[in-house]
Amino acid sequence: MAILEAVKLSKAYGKKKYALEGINLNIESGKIIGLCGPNGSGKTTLIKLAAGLLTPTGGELTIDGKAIGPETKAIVSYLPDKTFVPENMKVFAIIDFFKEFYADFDINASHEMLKRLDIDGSETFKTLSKGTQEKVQLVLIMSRKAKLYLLDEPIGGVDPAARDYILSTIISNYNADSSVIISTHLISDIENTLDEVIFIKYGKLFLHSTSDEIRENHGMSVDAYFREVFRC
Amino acid sequence: MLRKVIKHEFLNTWLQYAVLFGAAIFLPALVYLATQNVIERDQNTFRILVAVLGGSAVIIVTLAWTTLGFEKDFTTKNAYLYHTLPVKMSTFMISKTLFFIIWSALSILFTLLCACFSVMDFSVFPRIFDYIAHNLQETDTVGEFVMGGVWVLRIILAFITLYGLNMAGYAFGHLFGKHNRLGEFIFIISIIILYLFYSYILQGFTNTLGLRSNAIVFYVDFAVGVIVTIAFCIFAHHVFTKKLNIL
Repeated sequence: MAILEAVKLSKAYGKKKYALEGINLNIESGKIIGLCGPNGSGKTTLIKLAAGLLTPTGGELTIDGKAIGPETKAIVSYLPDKTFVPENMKVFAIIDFFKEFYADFDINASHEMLKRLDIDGSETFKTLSKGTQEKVQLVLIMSRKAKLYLLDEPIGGVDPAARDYILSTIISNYNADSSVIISTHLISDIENTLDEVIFIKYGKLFLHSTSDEIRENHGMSVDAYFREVFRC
Repeated sequence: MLRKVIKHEFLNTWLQYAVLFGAAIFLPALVYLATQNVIERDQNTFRILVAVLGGSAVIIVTLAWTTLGFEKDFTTKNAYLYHTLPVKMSTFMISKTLFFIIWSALSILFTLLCACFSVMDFSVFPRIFDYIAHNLQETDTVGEFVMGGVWVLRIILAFITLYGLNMAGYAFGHLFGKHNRLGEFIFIISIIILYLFYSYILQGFTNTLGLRSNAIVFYVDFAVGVIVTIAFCIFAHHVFTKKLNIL
């Protein structure tokens, strides 16, 4: 069964402004998928629809065969492109909060990741630097044994050294039953980790293919192909 | 899940209310002691001023915190966190309403305490308890209508209706996107105008039919309150589940 399935999925802001239009998508388990497209193409909208933060204007979206709701939220681990943690909470308190609400949360894994990233869990979230806040958020998301990870620009605000650790964390924490959808502009940094790539252009699905197929059919890297497709 | 949500809501809010309610007792007591040696006229002015300002502040701040807390958690700052938790919207709404009742009731109690500590006179409490006991046992406060404990239910319902109005207001505003404040304003004003019409009609019935009809009027009002509250909650639930747009 597909972990995520979209049928004629549309989302409009206002009466005519379609952010997504007629998206048909089928994502299988056990894959790392890059969701690529220029600014305003609809990447974040698609991820937010799957996370349950937006409701579709038309079409259907299911996760693990279920309509979006509390059941799907229990198996989806979503990292937004902005801060979502209450700023007055201490890091350990946030971890306890996640442990309480998500049955798949692995508290040992979260402590291990905090230790490796040299983050003091007793600090209040708002006192951390922006980069460290992003790392804490990623720790929270990747400490879950979710079926689907939705990562919206997970490496945008961190230093290159931390990027490697974050990518290795993503790869090592997901398993054969789960899929990871990563939205990013930094394709070259994650290209080697991607099994499949989705290109979205003006709210429509432009391409859904494996990374190998792009390299074989177009004779160039995913990053180079992206630059060619979306050249201004 | 409701237990977890209630626990989290309590842990998230208890400290700020503890500080507020603590201040509502501590500051009047402090002013009382500080004005011991002031001439009697100024003494009374100071103490009454503290009682009025302190008491008003406790109620206003509690109302602001409880109502704005819903907006913060479900439409602005914390929306990304709360809307992605595997929790039904109805569970959140029950928890928020419950804490609205608890904190509001405590704010009324501490407003009274603020007034009492301002003059160090606590004789009002026995009179309040007597009044409550009297109304619970009997009686005949409106014509021949024996209310018993029903009025307690009516007060609780009024609290729930008020918070339902708050949630429905935010829900209506949410439909307006960036102009959410305008939507909230239109909704609240419309409901207030409708309520004024409704009260006017209800008063007309009471005056026309005489005191014997008060029981009927009371129960009609009660039923309308229940229906309106349910309608507010269903509307808010519908918007925050089927029309959600967290941008």
